[in-house]
Amino acid sequence: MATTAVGPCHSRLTVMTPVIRRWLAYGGKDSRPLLKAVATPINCPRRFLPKVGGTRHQETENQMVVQQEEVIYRPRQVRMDWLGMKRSWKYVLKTVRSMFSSVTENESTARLFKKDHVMYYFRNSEDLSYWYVMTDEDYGGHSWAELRQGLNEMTAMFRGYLSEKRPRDLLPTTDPLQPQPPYHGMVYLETRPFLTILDKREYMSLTGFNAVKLRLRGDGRKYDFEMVCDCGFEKRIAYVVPIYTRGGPLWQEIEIPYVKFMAKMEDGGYLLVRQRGMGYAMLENFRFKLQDGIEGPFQLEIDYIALIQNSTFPDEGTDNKDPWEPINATIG
Amino acid sequence: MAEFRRLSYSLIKYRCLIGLCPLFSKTAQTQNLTPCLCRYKLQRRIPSRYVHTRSLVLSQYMKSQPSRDDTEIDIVSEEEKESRLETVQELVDNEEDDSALLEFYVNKAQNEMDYMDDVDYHDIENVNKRLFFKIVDVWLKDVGSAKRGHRDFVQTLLNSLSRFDVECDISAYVKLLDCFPDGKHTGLKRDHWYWSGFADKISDHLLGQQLMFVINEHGAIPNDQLFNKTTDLFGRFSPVTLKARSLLFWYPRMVAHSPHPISIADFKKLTPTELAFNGLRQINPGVDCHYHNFAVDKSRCKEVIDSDKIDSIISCQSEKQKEQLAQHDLSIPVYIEGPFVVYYRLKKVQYYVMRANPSQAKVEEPQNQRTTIVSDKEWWSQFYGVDYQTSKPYCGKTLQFYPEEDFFPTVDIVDGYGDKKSEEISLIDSDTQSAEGPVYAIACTDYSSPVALQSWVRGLILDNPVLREASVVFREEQSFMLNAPKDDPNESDYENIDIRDI
Repeated sequence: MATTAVGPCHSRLTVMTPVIRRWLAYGGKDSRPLLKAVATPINCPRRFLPKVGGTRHQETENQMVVQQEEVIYRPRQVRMDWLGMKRSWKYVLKTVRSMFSSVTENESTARLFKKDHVMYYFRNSEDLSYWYVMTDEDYGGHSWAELRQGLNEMTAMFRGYLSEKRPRDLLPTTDPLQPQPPYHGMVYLETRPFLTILDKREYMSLTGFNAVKLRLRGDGRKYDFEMVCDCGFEKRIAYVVPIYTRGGPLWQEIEIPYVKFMAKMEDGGYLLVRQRGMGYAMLENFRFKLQDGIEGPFQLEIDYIALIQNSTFPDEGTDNKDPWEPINATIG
Repeated sequence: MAEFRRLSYSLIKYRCLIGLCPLFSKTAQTQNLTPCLCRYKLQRRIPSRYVHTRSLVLSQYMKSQPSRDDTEIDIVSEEEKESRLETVQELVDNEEDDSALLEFYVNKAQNEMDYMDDVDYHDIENVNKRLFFKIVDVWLKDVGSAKRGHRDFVQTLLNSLSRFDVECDISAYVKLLDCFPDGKHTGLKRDHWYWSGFADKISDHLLGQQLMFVINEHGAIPNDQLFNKTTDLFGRFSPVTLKARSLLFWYPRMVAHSPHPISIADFKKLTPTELAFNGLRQINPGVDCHYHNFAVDKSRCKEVIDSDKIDSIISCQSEKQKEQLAQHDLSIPVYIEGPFVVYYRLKKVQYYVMRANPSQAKVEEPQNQRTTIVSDKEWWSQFYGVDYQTSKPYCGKTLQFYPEEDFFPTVDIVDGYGDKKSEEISLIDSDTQSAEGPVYAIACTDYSSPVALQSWVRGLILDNPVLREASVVFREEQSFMLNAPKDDPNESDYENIDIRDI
């Protein structure tokens, strides 16, 4: 007899991946009818005529059947971004109020009086709207992922299938001496950027704390926890830490000091030779990335992401400082 | 006429050496050229007929042709010439050249394996690994000190490492570095921080970079021998040494983030029971866990399992879980949920969880009853005035061995400056406990029938007598990891949307 576990997944909120249309080259279908003029003989029976659903046929005097184009309903192009203005007004009020509020009421200064600060937690289904999912489908991959509420309705569940099947664009080289170019499937879960007045990009602040604390329950796979820093001039550095999840029914709490993060270019896969302290002022988002090269399903449940102060952790680290860096950095 | 033709053929054949002739080159008249400095002339563009990339195959092909003396007149028609070139060009362009080169040396090495190999490679038990090292030795002996055609050879071996089971072994990559020509005049070494930027032999350094990339991809553990050899070969200021240095630097730092690291080479040697044990240790952490391996009655099981899978049931229980199970309410059943799947390195391990439901696990204390403590450990120590364990007398009524010292002030050590800071994590930390019950034990097995679970419960009864009286119910779960679809099930939601509309 099969019975369900703690409870079924009542609130089903699916945050969709960005819209990707299957181009005709991939064998997709264009369901929109096109304007065509079809000339048919008088004696041709109607059942052999091309069928298009919901079209109006006009039989003219010359017995020509012209299929009219269906009315295409496009979303209205909004001229005034009222929603954006509403969002900006909210932040205007916030800044004005912060000038006349006490130290504990203001969010940024209240941090100095906090022991821990919870940045993201998923007790409501609306908390999922702060995150979005991206996969390698954008450049021809075949993996999929979704973000929904967990079974206990208190956590977020990021799950899907990671496939190592190569995209059609990535052809093997013609040179017989060269091996196949390297490719691994990739899937990530990222926070939306903070947008304030007139869609100005704001950054996260990690001041007042020493480490990042995560409570999650994985499937035994290795996920990369990243914080992306916008350095300007379209240069983005990601500070990465590998998370080896245990899996299983028990929750896993991880404390990562800021010092342990390793710098790498966001576009490239290699760690930087010049490892410096993290740029606290320009950190944009958190990201959970999976790119371990194992084909199969994955599942990651996240309870909360918080910042903590632990006096046993060092503030300035020498773990990632290489004494050979001055020599290695000058090599082309 | 024939002599003129012969001279012209020899000129065409050896036109690459025209630079050496002082009559035909201006540079030779202006400078005092020696053969060593004439490398630019020698490295001029040479037609594909004389390219050394397929030197071995060509030499074999040429040997098969009958040798002609110089006295004979070569009246060769153009068609024959073209046909000869076509056959050579086919060999050059054909994709099977790599395999031909490799198969040639594999066969040669297999024929030349003798008792000396047992002495040289006595620590290698795998025959395929020995064959790999033998192939490299045979090639080195054939080719000589110049090591011509080393790039093709190294590339073909890099592409076929898995054939010899050698991809996780760093000694194989170190051996491949022996194939590069080593010497003062090779032009390979980059030892100056400035002049190395203008150096040649870029293809050799690119091949070295690819070698380092392959080491990282297959998970071989880099060692100092690799780094020292690359510096001796490629120099201090080459990208190959930079990559070797980064491998050596970052490998231990990445490994330090995992709680129980294991290399891929050791992972492949694990038996199914060892795999289950390591998987359980990953799922159920703790130094004080009890691990048991219980046998399963296979005659009663419906399914037949391969030798690669876990035949018996391996259970893991920590001390805290034991205490929680001892306090379990007997009127409520104990549930076994499963099967679930967890990844351990590259493989999957199937496990079952023994737990109770959340609301029934809490023991509600009766509020209307009045309770008084009759006797206690503290009461007895106060009664006698002596500590029970150490039999030391107390000082006064307080449970302290020494009197209070008023000379030194009492300091409460508090983290921070004594300010009262608010905590947020403690407010939300225990929310999931109300939704999920306590876990009593976890077990690994590849069987899906309840017969294996019966043997697990029978084995746990010795340490947990509660299971003799409580009823154990198997709750079959349909886990996502076992039945995950390869295609996105949510795609039907936006099939009709067209990107041109947005």
